[in-house]
Amino acid sequence: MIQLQKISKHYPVGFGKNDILKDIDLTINEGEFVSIMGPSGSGKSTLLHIMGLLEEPSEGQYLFEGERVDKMNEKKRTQLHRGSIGFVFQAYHLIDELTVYENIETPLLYKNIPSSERKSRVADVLDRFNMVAKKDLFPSQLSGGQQQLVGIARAIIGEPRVILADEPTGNLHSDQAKIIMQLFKHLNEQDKITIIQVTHSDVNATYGNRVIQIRDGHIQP
Amino acid sequence: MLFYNYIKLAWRNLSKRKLYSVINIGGLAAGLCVCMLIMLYVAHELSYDRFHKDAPRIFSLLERIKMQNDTIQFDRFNYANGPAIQQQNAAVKSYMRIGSLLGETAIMQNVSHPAIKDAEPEAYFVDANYFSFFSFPLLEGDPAEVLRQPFMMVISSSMATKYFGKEDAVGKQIRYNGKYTFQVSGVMADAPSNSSIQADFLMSGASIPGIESLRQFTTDPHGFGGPFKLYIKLDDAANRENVTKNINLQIAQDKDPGLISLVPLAKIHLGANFQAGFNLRYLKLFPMVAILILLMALINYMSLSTARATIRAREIGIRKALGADHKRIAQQFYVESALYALLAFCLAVVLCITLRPWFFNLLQLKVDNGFLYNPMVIFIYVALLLVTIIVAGSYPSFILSRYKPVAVLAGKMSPVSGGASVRKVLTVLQFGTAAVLIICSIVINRQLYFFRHTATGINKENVLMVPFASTLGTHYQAFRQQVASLNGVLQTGTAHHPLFNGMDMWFVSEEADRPAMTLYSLNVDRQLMEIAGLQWKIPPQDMSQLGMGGKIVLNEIAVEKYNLSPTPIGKHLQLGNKDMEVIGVLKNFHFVSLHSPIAPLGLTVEKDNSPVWGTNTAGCLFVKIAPGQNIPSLIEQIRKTYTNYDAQTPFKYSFLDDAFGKMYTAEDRLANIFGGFTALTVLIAGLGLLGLAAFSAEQRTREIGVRKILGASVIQITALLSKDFMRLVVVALVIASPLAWYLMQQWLQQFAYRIHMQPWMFVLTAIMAITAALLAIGLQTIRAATRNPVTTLRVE
Repeated sequence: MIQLQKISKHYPVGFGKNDILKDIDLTINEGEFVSIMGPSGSGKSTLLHIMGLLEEPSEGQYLFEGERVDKMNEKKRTQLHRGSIGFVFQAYHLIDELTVYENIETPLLYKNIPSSERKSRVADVLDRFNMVAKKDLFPSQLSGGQQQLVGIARAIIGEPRVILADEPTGNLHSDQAKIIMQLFKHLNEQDKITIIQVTHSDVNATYGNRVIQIRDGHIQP
Repeated sequence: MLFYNYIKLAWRNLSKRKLYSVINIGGLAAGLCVCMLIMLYVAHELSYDRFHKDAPRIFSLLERIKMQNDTIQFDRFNYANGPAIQQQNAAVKSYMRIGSLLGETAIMQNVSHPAIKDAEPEAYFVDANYFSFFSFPLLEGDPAEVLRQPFMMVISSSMATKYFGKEDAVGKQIRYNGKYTFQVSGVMADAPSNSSIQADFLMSGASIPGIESLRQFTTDPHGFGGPFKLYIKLDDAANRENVTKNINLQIAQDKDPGLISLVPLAKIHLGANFQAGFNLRYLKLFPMVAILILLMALINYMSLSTARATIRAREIGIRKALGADHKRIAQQFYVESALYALLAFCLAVVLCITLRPWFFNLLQLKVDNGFLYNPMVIFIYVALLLVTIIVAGSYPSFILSRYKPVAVLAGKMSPVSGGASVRKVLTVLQFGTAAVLIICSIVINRQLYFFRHTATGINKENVLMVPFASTLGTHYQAFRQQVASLNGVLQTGTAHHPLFNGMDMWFVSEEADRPAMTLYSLNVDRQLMEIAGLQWKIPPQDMSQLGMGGKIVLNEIAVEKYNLSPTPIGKHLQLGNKDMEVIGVLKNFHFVSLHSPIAPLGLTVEKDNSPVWGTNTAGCLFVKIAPGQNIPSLIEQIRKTYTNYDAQTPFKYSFLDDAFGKMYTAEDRLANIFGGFTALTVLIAGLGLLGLAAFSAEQRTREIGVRKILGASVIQITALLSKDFMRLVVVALVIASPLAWYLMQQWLQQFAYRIHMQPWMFVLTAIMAITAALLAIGLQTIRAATRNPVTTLRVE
């Protein structure tokens, strides 16, 4: 599903450059639950951003479902964001001015899904996440764990094939983290969604079926 | 659906960030409102006389005569000119003569209720085709018939109410100047405020031969020049040139030195009219100021929106990650901006309607209420709305939609990237404009102060002027004696005209070594010279010469211009066919406004002026009042005395110092308006800065917290945050000062007597601008600087 070939990423610093990722070769298959681990500054977040098309590699090739991403135009990338990729962020990144319901609905708006279908899909997800009672609240009225549930609900409403999660439980205490991780496992097993998470936690990594260690921009064998 | 979503979101953002919303929408509304008011005024000025159906084909005649170095313009013609012109030009379909009364005041009186009586300045004799020539609506009466017969009269509806109350005016009688009875044959609507012809009374032209004092004007068949305004209607406006050529051939045959031109009706108000003064000069300036103010408000709006965008950057990033392309983001911000702009516009319309009476009062202009719904005004307002929405929306949505999502989401976003340098330029522009306007205001006000307080050489305090008309007849001296004997009256004097309100003029012909000269003259008595406190340069050897005929007193300029130095006394001048001996020289004094240099002046002094003027002329009684009198009761006594001698012409009076002040009405208006503009501009610029400072403080919350923990004091933090803004204000001042200096130097050139710009004006401006900026910045920065670092660092 995701194929990275000799991916490098560096930023210019003064007259030289600062390497973040070097010659990454990585293949992730459909249905996998991958945990990317490594110390701070090892490049794992950058790797995730590249996979999520939020950042472009300096060198190398990235094939998403066999198609070269660097050849895609803006429109096609936007299509992928709308249809195939869902994001979950450490800081939740909900839109403060929108209610729970509206936050979840937003990706559907961008997909031009008709109103009645939007309603039923959002209702389904709210139901499934047990959040019907909270649908009219604003993010600031929710606890961190609840906000992250909304974040995940928003990530899956567009029925993506892959969810990219950047330290999804980083801001949560362990009980909440456990709920979130079980949810990911469930999505992976029941809904067959490919999940790639960046995490510090060995416990979290056990929910997945593959661990990739990164150090100094290299994947550790 | 998405659209609804945008609006909902825009509204939530609006109510969440109240301060910014108020600054943003309020500032834009204020700018728009001023723009609307000025545009209303400009549209009104431009719409003059265009409501006449045939306006493009109607022309007013204007004659220019060159006299030495001056060109004199007349718009008055002979009774016979109209018919003659029509006869000799096939293209002239009809003509219209409008006769005003050559200095005579029209006194109108309700015949059945003689107590209802007043002097009416807007009374004219017109030809019978008035209502087909122009498009003034006639409310009652047959347009073709109302002015056909002698002694028929059409009055305006407000005059109908004034003279006849609720009764029907048609068929009633009005007495004109106590002698002639007119039948009211029709009632017309009051002229719209954008009409150059503002008639209250129209008397049929056929009456003129029947009126003794006017009869002469109909019998003088030859030459041009007379008491009638003359309009002609052509079959096609394209024939204007031919007709002009023909008329000029005709007048050349009549040995008239003038040159005739045809002025289109719609251009009279702004072009050829010599009273246009104020309108013309500032009509060009005002739209520029209006656009400038709108631009500032829009700039404010845009720079605040982009600044706010740095706070919304995260939202944009998320939306992009969720599948929004930059078009969608642009749409969203566009809708948001447009919504705010629309709100601002609605607010501005409300403000405009509320402030309109006050604004036009300030301008001392009359504009009909209905003019607000004039198609031109509506067109301008719609255009204003569109421009606002387009401009206000485009820049923010353009900037915002280009944020890169990862930069934002991964926290690498440096918040200043959103057009910070553009914002700096905009801030400089705003404060620069504000500074220019402040300097202009100061200079205009100082010039006005100078006008009002320069020693003019005339004592203006406590002098009452009572003009009288020929109807006072031979009773002038008796009237004067009685006024002089009133308690509280110090002295009385006489002049042919009230001061600061016109003079007689003579052309003194050329002699051997004496160039020709235009000489202002005024017939006065000795008491008037004492009341006015005129100073002698060379007093007459024998004061009793004052009051003997054939003697004249000149001012210094006249002596100099006519080459009479060094011994002017005893020299002679020819005033028309009168020989005048110079018996004294007065020091120069300002008998006209300080706009113009002091001109040559000659005073002819009489003991008793009335025989000199004959019985048919008017004059003015000057009354010097002792200080501390009960003025209203004194005026009432003078009024009673006056009415005893003249029951005909209503009593009018004015104070000499008021008459003096009135000469500066145009500058007074300008000062008022500029004061308003300046206040608004400073307010808008201040609001903008307030908004930017708030954002800057918000962006730097964490930095401030860290600095405080490291030991920075509140003052240091405030200085840190203010420094950047103050630098911009200083740059603005440096740019604005020379520009304002140049502009005001140009403006001052038009006055013969003017102030010099002083350094303190610029220093004061700098202080004002910096104070405004400090106030705007200070509030926000001090709040940020005094916050407890523990709370600020817990952000995130």
